[in-house]
Amino acid sequence: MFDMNPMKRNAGKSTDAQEFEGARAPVTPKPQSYERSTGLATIGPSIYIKGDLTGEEDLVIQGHVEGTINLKQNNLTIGQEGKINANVFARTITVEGTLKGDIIGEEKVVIKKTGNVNGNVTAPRVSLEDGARFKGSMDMDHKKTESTAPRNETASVFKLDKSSNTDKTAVDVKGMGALK
Amino acid sequence: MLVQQAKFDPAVTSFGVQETNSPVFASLIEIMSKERKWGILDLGSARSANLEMLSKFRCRLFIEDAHELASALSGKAAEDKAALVHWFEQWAGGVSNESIDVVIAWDIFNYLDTELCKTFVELLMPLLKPGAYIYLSVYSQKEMPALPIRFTIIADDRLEYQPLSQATRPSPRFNQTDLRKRLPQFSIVKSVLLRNGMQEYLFKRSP
Repeated sequence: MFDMNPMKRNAGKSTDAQEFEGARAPVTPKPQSYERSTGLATIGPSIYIKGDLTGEEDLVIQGHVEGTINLKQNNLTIGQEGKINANVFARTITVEGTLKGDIIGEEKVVIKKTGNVNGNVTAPRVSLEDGARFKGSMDMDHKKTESTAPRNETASVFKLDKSSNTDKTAVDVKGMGALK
Repeated sequence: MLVQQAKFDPAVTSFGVQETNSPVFASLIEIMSKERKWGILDLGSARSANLEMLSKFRCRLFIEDAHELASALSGKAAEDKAALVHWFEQWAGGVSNESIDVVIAWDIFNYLDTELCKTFVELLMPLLKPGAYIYLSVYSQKEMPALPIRFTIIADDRLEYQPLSQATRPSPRFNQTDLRKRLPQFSIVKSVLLRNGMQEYLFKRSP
């Protein structure tokens, strides 16, 4: 059973990254316990995903994703180490890392001061912290948002790039057992 | 292009961080109805407060910080024109024709010479809707900050000016005639000389 309280307590805090670092320590890699302790699915910094990424739970990305990301009704956080080259759809999207691509937030998009976004943002509410880097457009019109959600809902969870380092990936993928 | 690296003294240059009334910007906000959707091009830095203010409107907001352009200008005509065209093409490629209702140019026009202004306006025109507005400020003092300053919208009628460096350079001190020549397709809706020496303008594209 998921303990959702830690997730609420930790939502949006940088401690996620610190806990993750501990979870993938070479001596005692315990990604499963990381998942239980936070309730958040996390893609670690050493993971490179090329393809369509979909899910039905909140997700933190500290790794690299190239393609599309569709979390439907869930929240996506692109951590400070995250590097995304993809079009992204989720309920709320928080960008602390680097994102190149178009973003559609059903409720809200937040660009933190460490965020670097190059693309077009569509959401009813957009907030941007001073210090964030942004190039592109922000479409703050909820009527349009409803009709622009990606339709690719049947895509596989993710497709690993065969050229990526599979040894590193294997360890971290276990930590993503909650991904569907 | 001559840039004077004089010691920054807000008391002398009046270019320190300052908050001021902005009656022309207030007029622009009044004009912008909350009913329709607006295409807005902000040529300043991405600022939290500015986004919060402009998000009151149904809008598509393009943020293209012109500091990058101003920093790249060398004073050599051909190189500067190439830099301007490159900067413009980087972001304008994804912008549909006649999709912009309002250009918030802040102080960028002060940093473009006559030819660059002409090129910039020529590039910009296809993106503007008939009746589009341009808000801009010009320096009336002899000196101005070496690079465009950061503007923060404090309220509908108040702005904060924040220079990003202490360096200054001679100001072109544009008057209305100069600006009319640079924006021949536009007419002046409102102009106010502020107590700090900045003069605000609101131009409207002729139908």
